[in-house]
Amino acid sequence: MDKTNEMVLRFLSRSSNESFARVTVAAFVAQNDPTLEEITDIKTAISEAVTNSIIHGYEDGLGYVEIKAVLYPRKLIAWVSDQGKGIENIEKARQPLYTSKPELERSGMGFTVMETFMDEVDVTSTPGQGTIVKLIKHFGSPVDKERETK
Amino acid sequence: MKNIVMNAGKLNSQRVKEVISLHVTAKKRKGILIVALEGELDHHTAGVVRDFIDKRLEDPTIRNMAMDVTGLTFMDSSGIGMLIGRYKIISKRGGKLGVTHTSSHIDRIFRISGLYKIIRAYNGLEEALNDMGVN
Ligand SMILES: Nc1ncnc2c1ncn2[C@@H]1O[C@H](COP(=O)(O)OP(=O)(O)OP(=O)(O)O)[C@@H](O)[C@H]1O
Ligand SMILES: [Mg+2]
Repeated sequence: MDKTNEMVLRFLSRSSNESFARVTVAAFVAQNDPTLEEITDIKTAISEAVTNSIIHGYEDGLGYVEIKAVLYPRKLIAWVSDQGKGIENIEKARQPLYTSKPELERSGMGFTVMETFMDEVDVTSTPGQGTIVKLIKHFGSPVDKERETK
Repeated sequence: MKNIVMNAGKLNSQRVKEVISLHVTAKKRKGILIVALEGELDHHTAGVVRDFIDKRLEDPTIRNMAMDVTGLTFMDSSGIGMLIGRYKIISKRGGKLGVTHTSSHIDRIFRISGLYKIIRAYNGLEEALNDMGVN
C-alpha cells in the first residue's frame, strides 16, 4: 500500500518536549481515524522512545531527537532517533526490568511497554553514534499482546 | 457543522492543558497520606510528583499512602519507576500503598509492569481507608 502522509519532527532533548512529541504524533495519526486506545498506545510508545533518547542517549546533555512518521491506510511506521551514546547490548537493554540507571528511579520497563502497545519494535544502535527505534502500529487489528511480568 | 468545529476546538484546548500540566494534591487522614494525581505522568512531571510526595512523607506519623488516579490521563514507565520508589519508602515503615480509580490505560501499565504486586487496587477511597485502618 502507498503511504498516505509523512512528517518529520526534530527537537532538542528537553524533557518538556516529551509531551509535545507524543501529542504531535497523536494529532498526526488522528487523520487515520484510530480508536482512543490506539492513540493512547502510540502516545505511550512515542513517549518511551523519546524519553530514552533524552535520558540515556544524551544523558541530560543537549542534542536533537528526530521523529519521522509515515502513515499508510491502516498502519503507522515511526522512527525515533538520536545521535547520542548508543546501546552496547540491545538484547540486554530490551529485557524487562533491565536499566542502566537504577539510581534515577528507572524501572527498565520502557522497551516492554513499547513492545506491548505496538505491533513491532525494532532497535538499531551504534555505540558512540546513536539509536534508532522503529515502531509499527496496525490500525483496527484486534491484538491483545498483554502480558504480565513474572 | 459549525457546532462540530466549536466542539473540536474546545476539546483541543482541554487536551493541551492536560498535557502540559500535572496536578498533585495531598491530604492526611489518620496516618494515611491521600494523594490525588491529575494530568499526565511522564519523565518531565514524575520528578515534581516525587518531590511533592517525599516532602510529605518526612512526616513520621504517616504510615500508609492511598493514591486516587481518577484524573490521571497518561502514564508511561517513568511513572512506574516513581511509584516503585515511593513504595520502597512506605514499605520500610511497614505501611501499605494503594491505588483507586485506575482507567483502562493506567490499569494496563500497572498490569504489564507488575505494579499490582506492590500497590493494591481498591474500589474507591473508602475501601482503601478501611483497609489501612481508618474507622
Ligand atoms: N536512546 C537510547 N540511547 C542509549 N541507551 C538507551 C536508549 N534507549 C534505551 N537505552 C538503554 O536501554 C535500557 C533499557 O531501556 P528501557 O526504556 O527499557 O528502560 P529504562 O529507560 O532504563 O527505564 P524506564 O523506561 O522503565 O524508565 C536503558 O536503561 C538504557 O541503558
Ligand atoms: Mg525508558
